[in-house]
Amino acid sequence: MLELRGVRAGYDDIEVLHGVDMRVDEGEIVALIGSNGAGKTTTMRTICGILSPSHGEITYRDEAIHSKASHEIVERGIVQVPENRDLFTNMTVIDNLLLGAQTEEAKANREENLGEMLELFPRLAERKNQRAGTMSGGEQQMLTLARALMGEPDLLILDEPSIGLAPHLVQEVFDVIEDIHAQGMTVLMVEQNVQQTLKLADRGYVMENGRISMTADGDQLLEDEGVVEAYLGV
Amino acid sequence: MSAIESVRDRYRTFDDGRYAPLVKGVALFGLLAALPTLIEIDVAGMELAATLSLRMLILTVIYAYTAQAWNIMSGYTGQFSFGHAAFFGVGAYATQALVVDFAVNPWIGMLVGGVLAAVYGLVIGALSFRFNLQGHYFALATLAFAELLRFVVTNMSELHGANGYFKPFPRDYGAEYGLAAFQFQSDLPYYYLIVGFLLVVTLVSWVIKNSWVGLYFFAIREDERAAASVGVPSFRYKLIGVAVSAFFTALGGAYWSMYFNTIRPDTVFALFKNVELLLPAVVGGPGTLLGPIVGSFIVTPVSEIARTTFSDINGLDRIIYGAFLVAIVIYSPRGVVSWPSQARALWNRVRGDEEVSE
Repeated sequence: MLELRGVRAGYDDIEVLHGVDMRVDEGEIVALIGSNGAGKTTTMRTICGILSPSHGEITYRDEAIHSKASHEIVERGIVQVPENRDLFTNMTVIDNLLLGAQTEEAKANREENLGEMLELFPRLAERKNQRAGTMSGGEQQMLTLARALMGEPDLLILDEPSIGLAPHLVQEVFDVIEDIHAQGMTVLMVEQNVQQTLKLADRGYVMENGRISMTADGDQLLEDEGVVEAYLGV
Repeated sequence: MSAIESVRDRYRTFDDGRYAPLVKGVALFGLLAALPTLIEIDVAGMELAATLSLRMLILTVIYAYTAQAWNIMSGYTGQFSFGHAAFFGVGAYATQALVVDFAVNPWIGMLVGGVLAAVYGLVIGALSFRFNLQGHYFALATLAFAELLRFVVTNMSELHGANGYFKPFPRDYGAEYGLAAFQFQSDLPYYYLIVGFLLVVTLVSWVIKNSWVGLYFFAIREDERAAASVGVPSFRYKLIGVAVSAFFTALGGAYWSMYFNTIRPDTVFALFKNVELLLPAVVGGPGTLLGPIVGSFIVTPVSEIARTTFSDINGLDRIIYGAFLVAIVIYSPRGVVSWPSQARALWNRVRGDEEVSE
């Protein structure tokens, strides 16, 4: 579905990704793990068109997308939930959700999806006319996720969805991800919470210094001593 | 337009606010329509008309109108323009050049000016947004584009250079005094005409604010990068904002050129014109519908009264006017229209404290 081949990218003169190869197949949950500064977020941003690669190519459903603007990539069905949440903090929950629907299809089903989201996330329904910035971190994370789903993505990209959340909220976020995956969504996620993520993931990639150093099934990575040592701290 | 309202309505807790915009609008424009009569009412031997002439009212509403137009771009999308004199001047010059040199009816000239200004706005926008100019840099770029026009027009003999244009009589372009000629023999019709202009631009602004376009504008103002990452085509929407704003600002320039007798590069393209066009919106409350109108009714009379009161010492009126503006901008960056809600918040806090201490 999505394939990266030899992707090099970075900021200005500093190259962060030194040739990344990875792929995501239809219906999978794929995890990207690695230490801080390994280039995980940069990879996500490059896929979404916020950064453009200097070398290599990114194809989505057999179409090269690496030179497309971010809104064109969204139109093709790739929606990102960014690490820093990127909410419109002075706008209401409803308006934030409405802004998530950008493809023609998503716009057509906007009202229906809005109702569904408020059902899926009852806490957002309670706060629907509240400004997004006044909500707690967990609620904001839910809103970011719900806004992404308003775009009816085919491929959902999650960057640290559980960062900074209380443990019971982390579980809630993972439950939601499992739910939407069960409904057929393809998910690519970056997570610090390696153990929980690898349990959920079909496959995982380990990233080191801007390269993929290892790839295997989620369970295999969980059993791999090197990974366990490096990222699980046991 | 009504689609987004209906969606919001359905999910909004019912707050009886459904007809509020209509009621407020009718009240506001009713008041504006009655103002010329109100200022002449004699209260204990004093009438407001002694300090607040009809001419000043016209000037006030002109600046309310242009600030409302500026607000569509800078207030809603957050792209702060410091060069709206460019659009204002284009409107004025297109109207006068066509009516003087080609005897074209000013209404047509006005629309031509509007379109030209929108195109110029698109050029400015395309260039500066393509190179990602933001904040101060964008403001400076717009200022440069406005100053550029002033120099060009001053040096173009085809546009009468520094002399500018002198408004012709209606008979010179085959018309009688009246609405069709865009000229009247007294000030009152001029006043109602500009109130009509203000009504139109306010309606347009209201429609935009409550539409999907408005939602995208606000998203861009809030966080442009975030807007782009959810898929808002921010480049296109910023251009829409500039074009609409430039078009309406030019109509204001056209009106100006038909109300006053002369236009020159150093009046309609003046450096200070850029400030005058945006100030009411900034003082009143940028990004709000009422802000530009309220702001103009504060800024314009204060400026005029300062000028007539302190005329004996050169420049004193500007100092007082400047100090007044600095105070407003420092102490109330959200503008005068935010005062009632801030006062309510303060009142609630004070009352809340009392309840706690009891």
